[in-house]
Amino acid sequence: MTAVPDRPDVTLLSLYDRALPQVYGYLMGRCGDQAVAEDLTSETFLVVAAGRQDVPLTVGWLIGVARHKLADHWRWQARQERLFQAIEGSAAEVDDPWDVELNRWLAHEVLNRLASQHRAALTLRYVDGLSVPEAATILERSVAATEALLVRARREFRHVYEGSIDA
Amino acid sequence: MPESRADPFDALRAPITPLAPDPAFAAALRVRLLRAVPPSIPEEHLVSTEMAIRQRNGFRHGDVSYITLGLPDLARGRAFYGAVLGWRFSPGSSEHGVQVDDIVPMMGLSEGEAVPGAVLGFRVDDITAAVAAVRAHGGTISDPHREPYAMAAEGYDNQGIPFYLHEMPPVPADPAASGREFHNGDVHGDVSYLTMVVPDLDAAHEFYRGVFAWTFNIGRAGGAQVSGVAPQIGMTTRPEAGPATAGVILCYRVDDIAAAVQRVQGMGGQASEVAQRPYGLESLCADDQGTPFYLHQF
Repeated sequence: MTAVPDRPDVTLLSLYDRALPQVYGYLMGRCGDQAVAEDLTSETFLVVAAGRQDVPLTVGWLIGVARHKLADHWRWQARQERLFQAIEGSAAEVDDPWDVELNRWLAHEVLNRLASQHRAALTLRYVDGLSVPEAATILERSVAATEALLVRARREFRHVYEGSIDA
Repeated sequence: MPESRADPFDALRAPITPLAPDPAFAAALRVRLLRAVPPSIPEEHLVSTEMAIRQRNGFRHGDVSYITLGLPDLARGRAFYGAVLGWRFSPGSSEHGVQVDDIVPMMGLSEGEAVPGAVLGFRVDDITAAVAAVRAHGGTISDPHREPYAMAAEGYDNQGIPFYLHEMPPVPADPAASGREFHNGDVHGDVSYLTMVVPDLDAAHEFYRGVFAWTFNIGRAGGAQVSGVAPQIGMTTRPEAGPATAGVILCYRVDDIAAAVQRVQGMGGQASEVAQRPYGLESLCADDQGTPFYLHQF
């Protein structure tokens, strides 16, 4: 037998058992929808399988791909929503200071109910803990546009959150 | 009093909580990955440029590696298919068989077979595992043995349809075919499609999914399109052509179906009127020894 060189399929497939719960867990934890999480998990692994073979495969890298897939999903969803309603108000884009200790459980519930682009921005910035420039790259927006989006997202979040408390 | 105003949104921060998905989903995705990953292979397996361009033995586990077409009379078969499809032939391993040159997948004509008609060979990654899978899914099969071309085994599926297995190292898909889900031949004379006539679709599904990981898109009554195999395969319980016994009907790609139909008739075969199908032009034919086949022009 000749020595078999490193085969990328061995690498990805050998990573599969370890990476699958991480990728699926990441997506499920952020989108909360089994069907969507399964679709995006499939897309993540398949795009990696079909893609460049010279990138060292790690779970972290797969999570990065999954994050892009999630952002793509919300971007698509946002386009659907815009067919029905204008979600981006023209109010001045300044933050009201908000001094509150968020209930984590309720906060994630609220996040799930926001317009998709707002949910995407807050998830990348806060749930994943990315910097604004990092989030901007994934959202395919400028840093300034991302800052503005975050302002609107926080405003919608606060509105829904406070509405939930009052209810 | 200095106010330490932490960002309340920091409460959203959530580390990744690993979560195992539905096992059926995980298993299905693994199969898709096995098929999707372009395997890299040692250079020495690429014996010629031509092989690198046109893989004649399939390229992944479960693809058709070889087709034997058993005919009552070999000489008549050579004359008929040579004239109709332009096939050229090389000597086979005995005087009762010939190899068809160049076409995809690799194919041979043979006379005096116990089973007339087409018998498919499938490539497998690991013949020991594949033989075990055949037996586990109700098939019967010989133990693997070494042949000049590959480790091989012959058997019958769970409904008595004969086939054989060839263990072959994985190879890259044809560059021209990369990313293509279905393979219907690239040039005149190639096999464009295979119709498998099976007594029971559910039983076929069980066997071929289990052994080769094919996926079935069960469609119109009594039929299914199979994904994950080259060339493309359709399964039916009710063939349009030939005796309704289990087996395989071959389809061939031609450049000019009207001219090909004339050649079929000129050589003593039969051909139906050319029909427009969603996928192309089609004629249902029989050779001069009664073997049914289809012609396709895409």
